[in-house]
Amino acid sequence: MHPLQVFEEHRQRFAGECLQRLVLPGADLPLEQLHRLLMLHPLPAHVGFVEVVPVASGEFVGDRAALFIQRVRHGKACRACRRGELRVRIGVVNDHALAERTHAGDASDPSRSVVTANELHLPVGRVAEIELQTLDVIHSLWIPGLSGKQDLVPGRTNHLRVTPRRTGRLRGQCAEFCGLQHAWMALDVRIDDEAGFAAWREHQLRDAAPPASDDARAGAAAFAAVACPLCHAIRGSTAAARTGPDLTHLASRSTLAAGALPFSRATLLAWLADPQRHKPGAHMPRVPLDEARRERIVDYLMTLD
Amino acid sequence: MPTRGAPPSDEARVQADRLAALERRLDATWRDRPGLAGWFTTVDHKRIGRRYIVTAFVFFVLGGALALAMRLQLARPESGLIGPDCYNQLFSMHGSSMMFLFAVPVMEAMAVYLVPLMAGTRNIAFPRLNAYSYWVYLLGGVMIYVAFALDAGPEAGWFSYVPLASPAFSPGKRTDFWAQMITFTEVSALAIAVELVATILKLRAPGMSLARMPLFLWSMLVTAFMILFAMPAVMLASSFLISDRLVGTQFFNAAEGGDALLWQHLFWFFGHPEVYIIFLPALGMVSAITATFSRRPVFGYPYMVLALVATGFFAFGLWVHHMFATGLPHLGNSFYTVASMMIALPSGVQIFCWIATIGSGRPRFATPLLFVLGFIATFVLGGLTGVMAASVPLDLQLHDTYFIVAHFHYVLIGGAVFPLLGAVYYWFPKITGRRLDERLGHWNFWLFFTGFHVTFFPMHVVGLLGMPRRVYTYPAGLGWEPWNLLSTAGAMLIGVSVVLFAANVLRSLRRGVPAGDDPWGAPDLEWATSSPPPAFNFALIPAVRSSEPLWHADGLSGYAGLADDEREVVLTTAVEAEPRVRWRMPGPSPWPLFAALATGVMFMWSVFSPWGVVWGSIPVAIALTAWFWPEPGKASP
Repeated sequence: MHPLQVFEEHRQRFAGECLQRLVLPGADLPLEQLHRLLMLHPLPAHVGFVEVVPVASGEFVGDRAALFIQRVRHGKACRACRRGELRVRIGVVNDHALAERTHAGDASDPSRSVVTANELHLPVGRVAEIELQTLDVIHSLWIPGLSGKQDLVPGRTNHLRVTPRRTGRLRGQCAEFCGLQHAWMALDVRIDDEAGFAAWREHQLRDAAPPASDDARAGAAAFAAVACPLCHAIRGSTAAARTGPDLTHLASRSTLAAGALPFSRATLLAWLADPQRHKPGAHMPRVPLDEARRERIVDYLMTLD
Repeated sequence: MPTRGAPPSDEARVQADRLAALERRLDATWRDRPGLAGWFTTVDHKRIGRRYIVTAFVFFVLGGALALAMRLQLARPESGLIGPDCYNQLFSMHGSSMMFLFAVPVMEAMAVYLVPLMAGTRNIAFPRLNAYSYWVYLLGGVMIYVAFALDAGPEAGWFSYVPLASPAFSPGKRTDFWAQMITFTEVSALAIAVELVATILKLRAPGMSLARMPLFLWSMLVTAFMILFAMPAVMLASSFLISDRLVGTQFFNAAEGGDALLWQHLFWFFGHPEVYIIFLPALGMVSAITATFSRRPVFGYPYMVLALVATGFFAFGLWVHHMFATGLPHLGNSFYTVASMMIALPSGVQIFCWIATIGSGRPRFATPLLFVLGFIATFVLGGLTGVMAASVPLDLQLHDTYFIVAHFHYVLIGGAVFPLLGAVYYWFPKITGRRLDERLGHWNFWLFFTGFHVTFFPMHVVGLLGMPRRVYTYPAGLGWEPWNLLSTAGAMLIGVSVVLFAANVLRSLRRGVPAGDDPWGAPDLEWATSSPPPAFNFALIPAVRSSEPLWHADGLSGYAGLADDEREVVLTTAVEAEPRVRWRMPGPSPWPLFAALATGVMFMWSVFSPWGVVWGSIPVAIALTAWFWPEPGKASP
């Protein structure tokens, strides 16, 4: 079917849903051309109303079946954000109505939801419905290579719909001034193919494996003995606090402290030694630890992949 | 009124003697008290206007210094020069200074000085209110800078979005000082708006009908009305914020049924017209300069007036384009897109009219006209990016990036500061009696123009590359470094240019070429009196018969008949400017100063305790009573 026919058909059925695109049907195009011209960000293969069509198909609009919920929390970075978490609940939906049904139960099943920190994984070629809520101040989710930004406003739930068109890694960031560490509130976005995404998700759903080496076991004991579990959770261990980021799969991440540091053993050691030096105003306090203990804890954390 | 080229005859000599005697009597009536007492009690619009202009430029320099500090920090990635807390205060102070303490006040200050002269009257309407407004403004500005120096400067941006500015996320007094600074500056802005509306509508020289009114007066009239409608919104918002912070109301707290977006609506309902409140006076300046230096009247006068009025109306219909990403209904957003694009039309009309004026005139490229040309080039670029950002889909990429920083500096510096500097070069001779140095002026202009574009053009690029605003630093490796370094270099050039400007002003004050009454051959009434003008402005109230009274031999004559031992002015009708009433103006008084001090105490006290409003209002009431106390034997002021 010609895209315009598809468009017309859906326009009649769901005029309200895509009214913005209707009023300015071509308005998305200059952006794409501009970006292509300047060869800036990789953009989806096509943006504009045609892309919206599968999203606005009746089954989907009537029954927003989510495949899974992904909660993205930032690293307690802003002084302003002490009160709670920035929670980006992301429900990914399939544009094939039948496939949605098979997974429809996930949305209400907390045991099937994945919680990450400062990273966002999306499968390529599928419409992602991102539900945006904030528990503290106003933030704005912006992944320049994927889509425009959308604010997270207290007391409201906003939605952002994106369809990643190619696999790869993108940088996202908060676009609304949100306090002391607004500059370091970045998001690591990974677009995987279907199989890679499923594998990642299964992996994330698993609890942390018990430490295998002696050093890691010593580290796990030290972790439990000092202040760490007061804020952090590691599924599969006794640590279950929700104040700081979930560390169950810490070592699978590529950044620390919402993009302030690249993830590695050395940076993790440095971060634990003095978080305020690397990110002034971060919520993570400096926990007094002797050198050896810190090394053991890092040995343990590095096993949490 | 000394007529030009009149042959010296006995009759003329007798008339000149009479005129001199009249001027002596008027001077005795209108002169301030001597010495320090005069300095504190003056109600002369020229003296207060000069003070206002100088104060606003001081805040301009301070705000600019803060910007230079930010540019130094951003010159390289992950720089440790300035920490996040300090940086957030810097950009909050920079924005607040430039918007509230420089841009709006300086335009009003120019109007306070120029409007009565251009209208051909002896003082601004409500002169004591004028004095009061200056003192209130000064107190507000000094308060916020003292707070900043004590590490209690605002930290939530010049826009202070809640909940970031709410008591939960901005503890301490930082945001309270910011909110009270808003109250100070808005009180003074509203006061001046009232004075300007009254002066322009009721104090114009007889014969200066609306159809003959200089475009600068038109632009100030529209601006003053805009202030009257826009400022209450932000005063309401800042009062809500203060009461949320001080007495535990929950206007903006979503958890208690408040709404965070309420702040944004109220703030931008003021904040967008604010841009035009800054920009329209500049358009008036551009029209005055263009006409004088093209040696012809501005092309398309009726269209210029209609464009100003249309801009004034449209400006209130665009505020939501600051909020496209907040999740408001799409249908609503598209209306604001249309309105935002529509406002480019009146601006376009004016740009074409000025180009036609210059093109069909005999332009003389002195420094003021150079600044006008710089304004046209820069402002058109800013307008184009404005039309780009008006489109919702594009704005969702551009919003809150450096592209927007570039855009609004193009429209605000391009649209307001270029004309303002041109206006200083243009009216400096009138204000001081001496001309600014032309060679330094050319250097000043070219450095400013180059520095500006080197600073702000790269910001478009770095914004498209994804750099968000209000970040104290940024990671290396995203391709942002060279552009930021370039911006910093450009900012230094602007700094040099401003220093040059200050040097030119200081030097010319003492050693400038004496100007004479009308150094440029200008058409408007302010050039019909001496430079600097006497305390009473005009010995004879001009009678106007043309839109360019000084360009027509019979365009101007003088009215006698006002008392010279009383501060009398003539009130005219609003449209046709037919003389109606002789009106006595109030004279010097210390009470506006005391009232302003009492108001200041009340506002500052209420930063710390709600009881400040209650007990602080008593001295204000006393000062106001004394201010309005009838003088014995005279009509009420």
